[in-house]
Amino acid sequence: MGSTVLISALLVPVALAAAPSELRWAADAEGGAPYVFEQPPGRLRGFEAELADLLARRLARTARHVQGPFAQLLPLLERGDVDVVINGIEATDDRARTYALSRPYWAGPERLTVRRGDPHAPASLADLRGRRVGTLPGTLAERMLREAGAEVRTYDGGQEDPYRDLALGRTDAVLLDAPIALYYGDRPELTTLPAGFGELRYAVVARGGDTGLRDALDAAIDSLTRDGTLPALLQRWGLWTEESGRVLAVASAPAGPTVELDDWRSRRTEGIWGAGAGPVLSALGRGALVTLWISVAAMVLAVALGAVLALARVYGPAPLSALALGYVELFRGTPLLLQLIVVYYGLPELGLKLSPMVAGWLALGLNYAAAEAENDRAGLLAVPRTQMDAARVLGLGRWQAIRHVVGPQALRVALPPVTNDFIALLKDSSLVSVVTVTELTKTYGTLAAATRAHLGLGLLVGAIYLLLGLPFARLSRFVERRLGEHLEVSR
Amino acid sequence: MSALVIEALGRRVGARRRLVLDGLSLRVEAGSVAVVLGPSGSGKSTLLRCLAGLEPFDAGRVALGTLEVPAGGHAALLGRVGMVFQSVELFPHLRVLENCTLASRLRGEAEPEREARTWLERLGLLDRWDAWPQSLSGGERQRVAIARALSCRPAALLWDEPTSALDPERKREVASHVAAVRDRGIPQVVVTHDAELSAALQASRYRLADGRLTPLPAGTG
Repeated sequence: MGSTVLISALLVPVALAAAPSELRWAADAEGGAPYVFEQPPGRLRGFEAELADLLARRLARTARHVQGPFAQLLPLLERGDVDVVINGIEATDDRARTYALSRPYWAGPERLTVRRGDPHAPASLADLRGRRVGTLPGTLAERMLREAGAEVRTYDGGQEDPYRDLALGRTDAVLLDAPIALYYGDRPELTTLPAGFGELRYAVVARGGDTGLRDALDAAIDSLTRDGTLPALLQRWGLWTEESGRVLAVASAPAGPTVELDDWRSRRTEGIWGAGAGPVLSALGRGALVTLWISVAAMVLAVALGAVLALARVYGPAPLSALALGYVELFRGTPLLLQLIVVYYGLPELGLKLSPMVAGWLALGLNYAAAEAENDRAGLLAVPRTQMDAARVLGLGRWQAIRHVVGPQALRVALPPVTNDFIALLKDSSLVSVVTVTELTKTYGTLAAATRAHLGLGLLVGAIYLLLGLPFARLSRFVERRLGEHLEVSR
Repeated sequence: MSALVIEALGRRVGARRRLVLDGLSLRVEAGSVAVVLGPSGSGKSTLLRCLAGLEPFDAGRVALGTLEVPAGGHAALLGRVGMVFQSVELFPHLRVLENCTLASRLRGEAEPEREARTWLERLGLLDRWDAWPQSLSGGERQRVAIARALSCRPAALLWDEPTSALDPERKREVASHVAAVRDRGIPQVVVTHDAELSAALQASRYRLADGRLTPLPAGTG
């Protein structure tokens, strides 16, 4: 029956196609100020969030944000999950060959941030040789640092992290895009050098063949520039630069207060509950539900498929048994993360495109099925073969004997490790965030980056994980006792 | 009840096709008992497993009333021939009565408990009907195994070393259980190397050697 579940899951990929009236745009909202971030939790903000709305409106579409980890945004685009990526993606020649890049909507330098009062603080790119310098992976800043001979440390977790490590003395400097330095390098212990390095330009990225969309985006950016909307937007976020003026061909700098930047600065000290407990708790609640749902569903698949695999190995004919063994070795011997990425980003190459939830569920379930198969096999082998003989002699068919005689005895042996695996699966489900599912750990990352309360939120989220696992541990102890009832009697 | 007829039974086992049963023939009339003696490794267990339907035989035939079982058709014997295992093999997760009624329940019999209760009563176990096998003594377990086998109304009953797991006092009871089954007209084959049991049974005695049975004169063990 497990295989039926599997097959139907494979045959019913959830359609991701957007209505043509939508502009699906990908960005990583984890620690993404001033680009795209959540403040308060659940409410999307950022200059690119506003830009996406404006562009969609000019295209007579509705903007729909799709969350993805920064490193996976372009794969999401290629997969067809989104129409564009808008997330501080640098317009490089390499990218222009693969993708359709819009005209730049922002330009500016990289900026170097150091510890305030550090006598050995580097002051130029030349000073960076041999020094430990933090940045984000795959950026112009990283390439500049490598050319300068710096010892580069890259951070996947968000834009806050490099500056925190710098303040803690783990690195000597941070080189990053001017907007990031402005929003995250602004700490009392740190100072950002006035001179910028190099020039980078941000562009909206569409799929290579999608030149029609690119042309429409160019026209929209042009019109937003000429009517003053885009310059005013950049000004409100404190992001107007001379370079932007040059690439947008705007002669005079926009005037007006930098309200969004000021708002960000005033909220820095708010902590976890700055916007009230409601948004934080409801974000965590949503994350916990996703974690619980995907874990339970994956465990159901794993237990069903695992039982089929174990039966095939122990009672199946030789070829089937070998096939089951091959399955177990393959899924047990390769990383879950690899399987997840292959299911989500690899299977579309074969024409099978699964929704993020289905892909996450399937990868977790298929992976844990290997572990459950081994548990069940151990259980089946713990029952003497003569029990099967005794059942057969009484006239029970093979399946009846497995169902009524061998199975129940095997289950008692197999159950305790199954509980253990469920708790492990609950934790491993955090990996599905790489396929854009916002579960509990991803929610934690986003909230912690927004509120800077890594420790307090971490303890809270840890407690939620414990609470999620607890009922299952208790249920399992109860079932174990029931199944072992016959062993507790004495003569 | 009818006789159990075994004709020219042949069986080879293992990768080297070792000959274990070599044209073995035996006729056990309804209500009579055949005792098969022989050293270990002589093929006694193979003979019983073939007769119970657990193992195929390569040559010969087994007949049981209207049931004709040729080589390759051994599975037809499953559920027709009862067996009391040397290791007893009660189902530990089922209570005494459930052990005895599982097969008849799964066959969808109208009164799955009737035959089971009759035999449990006859074997003095009716008051233990809801006990777990774990809580029974060795002798009680064997009696449950006998009741379980007979609850399926087998056309023949096989015993594999029935005294090997019992203490001396209990051993003597086995002969009376065999006698009780004989009174029902069921043909029985008892495999043992217990001379005392063999002597206590009213039975024809055979020695299994080189894959064939040789009748032993009455009074030998």
